[in-house]
Amino acid sequence: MENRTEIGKKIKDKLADLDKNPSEFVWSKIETDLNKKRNKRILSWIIPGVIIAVLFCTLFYFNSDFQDKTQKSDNQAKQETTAKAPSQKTNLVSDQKQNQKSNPKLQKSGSDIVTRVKKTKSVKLIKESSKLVTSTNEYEEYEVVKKYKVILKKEQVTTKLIKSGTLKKTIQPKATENKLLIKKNKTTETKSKKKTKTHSTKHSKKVVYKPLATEIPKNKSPEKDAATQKTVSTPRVIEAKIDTIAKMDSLKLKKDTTPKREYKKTVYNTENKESDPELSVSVFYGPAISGSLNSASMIDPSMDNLATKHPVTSHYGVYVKTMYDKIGFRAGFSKINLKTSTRLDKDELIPNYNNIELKSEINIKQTFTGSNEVDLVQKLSYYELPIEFVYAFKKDESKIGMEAFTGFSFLISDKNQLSLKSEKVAMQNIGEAKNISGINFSYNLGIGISYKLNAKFSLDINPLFKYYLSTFKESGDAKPHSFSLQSGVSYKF
Amino acid sequence: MNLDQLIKDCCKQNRKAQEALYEMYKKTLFVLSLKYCPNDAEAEDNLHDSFIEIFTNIKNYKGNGSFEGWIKRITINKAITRYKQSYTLTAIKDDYPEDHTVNETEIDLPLETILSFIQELPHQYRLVFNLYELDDYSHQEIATMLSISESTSKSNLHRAKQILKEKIKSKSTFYYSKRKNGK
Repeated sequence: MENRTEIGKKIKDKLADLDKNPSEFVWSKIETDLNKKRNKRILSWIIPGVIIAVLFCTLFYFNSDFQDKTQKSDNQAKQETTAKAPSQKTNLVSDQKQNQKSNPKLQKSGSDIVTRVKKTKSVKLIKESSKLVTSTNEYEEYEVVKKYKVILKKEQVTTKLIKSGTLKKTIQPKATENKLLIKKNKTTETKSKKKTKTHSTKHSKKVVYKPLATEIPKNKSPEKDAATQKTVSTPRVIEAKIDTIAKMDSLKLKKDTTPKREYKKTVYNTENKESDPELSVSVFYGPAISGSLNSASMIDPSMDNLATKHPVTSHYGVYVKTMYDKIGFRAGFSKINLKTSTRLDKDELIPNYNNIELKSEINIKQTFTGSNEVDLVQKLSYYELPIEFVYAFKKDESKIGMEAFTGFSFLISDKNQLSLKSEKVAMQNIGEAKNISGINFSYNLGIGISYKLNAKFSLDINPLFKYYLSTFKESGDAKPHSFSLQSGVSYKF
Repeated sequence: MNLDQLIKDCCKQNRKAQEALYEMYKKTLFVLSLKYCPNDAEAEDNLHDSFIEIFTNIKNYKGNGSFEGWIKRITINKAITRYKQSYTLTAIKDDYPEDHTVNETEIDLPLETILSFIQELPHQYRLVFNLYELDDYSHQEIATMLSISESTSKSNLHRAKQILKEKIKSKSTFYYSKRKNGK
């Protein structure tokens, strides 16, 4: 009788003995794809990082530039306002006269001035007091103190505004016109100075100083009306509370001259001490040397014990620097070339180093037969995008300035070349190192020394140390670094 | 190198460790892929995709269960994803005959031939047959993995076995007649 078995079990047992290997190229394909993934991962971090950094710097620069312009325009506007004030006051005084003519009641109380205020503005008289200073047969002098609270609403922004300013008015009953003399009380002015600091809005709407004067009726004697009408405190739209003191200067009665107004130019304290951002461009060119912080070879671990030399190469490029007083940023574009030379054992030229991809057409043994001193030269060059933080620790009027900078560079590999040379054969390109990554990063640390030639130009010399963070595709033992001396010229805008 | 150390190094994306791990498991996973794929080329593609997945997600392996089991599951899942799209729902009644036995002599065929029979099965049958017979998944698990019903899984297994049985029988007749003539 035949032994029958279940097909599934039988196949399983049979296939357990299956022994088959995949083809050789599967791993190389996996390796290539893993490298691509790694580069993509790095780029996915770097590209947004660089974009954010550039945006941040741009925003920072333009923001400070905008603030500066706003401040300047505000100052200019205020100066213009101050300059225009006398004429405006005159106009307003005449307006006030007309208003009072049409409404006699306005002449009798100080609060009438409130009616002159624009609809967007609310003025409140908080305190009022009058004090008799001098009383003679000819005149009486009163000191009237009024305290106002003014709120000005602009674009849904409530701003507390207080009127200030004092009118000193001398009334000459016999004169055909009432002549006004406006004089600021010194104490008031001091307060005013302090409080009229620019609380400017971004819309740069000018707040106009509008003194309002009350016309004194011609038929009334100064003696009768002095207590109530002779002195009028003028509201001034500013963002503070101040006291207004109006004095009736009796001495002016004797003078039959044009009403005199004294305006003192308000000096605005610049609260914003932030200076203009300094923008400068530098070009540099300098020598560079590279190597490994430990003795490990950048090509292959089996070459660790061989003698190496570090020929001088070049580092050149351009920087844009923005300084805000003592701190700032610099970014740029440059190219750095690195070179390391390793003396090979003449009996073992390019043994089976895993990390060297040899050119197929090169026959090394044949070419270098008879050479005693054969050097393997590794040339690497990178395009560099540095972003660095700068701190100026010596920045004064002297010609020499010093600063320190630190940051990171994003490096894109341009050249990865391995060459052989000997005393008999000139440099012969043999291939490239397989272990070098296409994208690299470096940590930068340097000192900048500058010498001012004039206000715009200066000479720079920047010793710079770079430590490379991801030179290798795999984690290599070598710790590559470079030292360069960037020397060049800066132009300050 | 110790497997744990190798896994740790692979987590750091150390290329040498990854290569060592590949060398360690390439045969196992390739044979597994061969059973699930219709030919060697697709099995290599599946192996490639599986190792990329393994190296990308190796940090997610927490040590629960065997590492080999974990990477095998990844390989099987890759194969399922590859052929799931072409999966057709072919549910049949549960009263199909259960006789899927073959003679010992009939199945005494070369390994390559048996493998080719499996590879020649339609995708859906091959997946179910492999999962159920070779990798010991239950119909319930297969149904979940392939997003099908259990009855569909059972019917596909039945059809797969039927096809295999026919192929083995015909091949064995041819094989033995050839051997007989040869003698």
